[in-house]
Amino acid sequence: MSGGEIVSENSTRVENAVNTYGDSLMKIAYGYTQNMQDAQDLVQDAFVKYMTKAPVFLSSEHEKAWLIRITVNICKNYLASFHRKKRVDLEESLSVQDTYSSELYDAVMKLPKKLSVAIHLYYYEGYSEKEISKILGITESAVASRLSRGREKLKIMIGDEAT
Amino acid sequence: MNEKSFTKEYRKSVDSLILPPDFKSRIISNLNDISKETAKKQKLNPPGIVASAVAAGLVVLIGTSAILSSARNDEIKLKICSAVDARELQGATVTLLDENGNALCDSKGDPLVVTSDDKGMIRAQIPKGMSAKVRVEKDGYIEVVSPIENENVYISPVLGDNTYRAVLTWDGDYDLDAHLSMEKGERYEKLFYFKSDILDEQGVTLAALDLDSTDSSKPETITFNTCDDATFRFTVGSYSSLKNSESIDLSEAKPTVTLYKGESVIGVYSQNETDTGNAWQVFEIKDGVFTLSDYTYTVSSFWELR
Repeated sequence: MSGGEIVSENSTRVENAVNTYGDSLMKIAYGYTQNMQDAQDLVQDAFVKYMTKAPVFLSSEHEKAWLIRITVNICKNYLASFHRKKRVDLEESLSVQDTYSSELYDAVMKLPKKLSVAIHLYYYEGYSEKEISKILGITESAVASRLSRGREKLKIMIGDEAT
Repeated sequence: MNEKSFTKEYRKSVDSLILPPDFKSRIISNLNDISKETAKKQKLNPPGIVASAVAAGLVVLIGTSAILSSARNDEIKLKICSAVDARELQGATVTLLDENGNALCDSKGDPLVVTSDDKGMIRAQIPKGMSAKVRVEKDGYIEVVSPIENENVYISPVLGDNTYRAVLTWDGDYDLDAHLSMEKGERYEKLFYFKSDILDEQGVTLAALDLDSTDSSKPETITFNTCDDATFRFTVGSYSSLKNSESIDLSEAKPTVTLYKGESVIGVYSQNETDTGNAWQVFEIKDGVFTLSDYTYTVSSFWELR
């Protein structure tokens, strides 16, 4: 199969994937970057991997989980390289940005990233702890621990109003 | 707020995020450009077999097929230790990752995970020649990702929200030292191997040398809290060079500094291999603001280290 055929067969599939999963991935990436432009760049990187790796998916759920996993890994690498190369105002990096203000969302975004991404995948995307463990490549008990610690920290940050 | 209402409120808040209206069309347009470039290059250079990982017992998605291969593996052995006292840690969960940070999976699609024994050791097989990494997790410790080339992986206990820990590791038969200096008003203090803790005005410890090492078998670790109106600088020095005036470049030892804060890894910093000099200023934190220095210079004594 030539490169040209691969490209044309993939393009519709990739376009469908962007339209179907783009919003979800942007919200996850924004959780890491707190900047929409950076989030868009990272989501684009995820779709580049999708396009070039072109794996076989058993279902749309499998496809979405794969994309989320790739996006989370890209965002983690982004954070590590960001701190390596640029000046960071640690207080500013924790603040919620330009487009929206919600006390609950602010509080979740202030959690350590590995807790906030577990909270997001559980409460927003609706994944089970087992599904989250496969997405993040960690054990189920680690997922349970992160959700528990995230909830505890939210209780402290928001008070008894949090779950 | 109960679980149900938290879910409802959180979903409402995320749904209300305003995403850029045209981000999908931009991504699609950029991807089309990339795929056209790729097609051009492939016509000039037809691809061979593309494989990111092939190993006995592993199923990895490669191209458009899932391949189970019986190629030979490399065995890896790692020891998981505490960054504070170099103690071997039992019960650490170690996930095998490929070079891109994606979990390696077995034939069922489950991540490959091993647990450290009572000597802190883990043993596993990875695809031959792969530049694999490991993600190490343990309750009460901060998660790290480390290349498998490191025989020992040091992990730090979770810190207070405003506490930092810098862990210096290196290779080879060198004796390196971690230095932390503090400038606050007229005060200037330094912490390194024979200098005890830095205290604040109330006598509370601001910085302490947790672990001092004379060779690369253990790291050097400094834990510190920053404070207002103060500048903290972390520098790596070569004891051999400074004490004995041996002319070695610090970069020969390939020093790496992992910086933690709270429950996270802030960054992992490695000196450029081509840098010359015996002192490497890694970072500075001034009034709570972090700046990566990555500056190598030469001094003739410990006291010249800034």
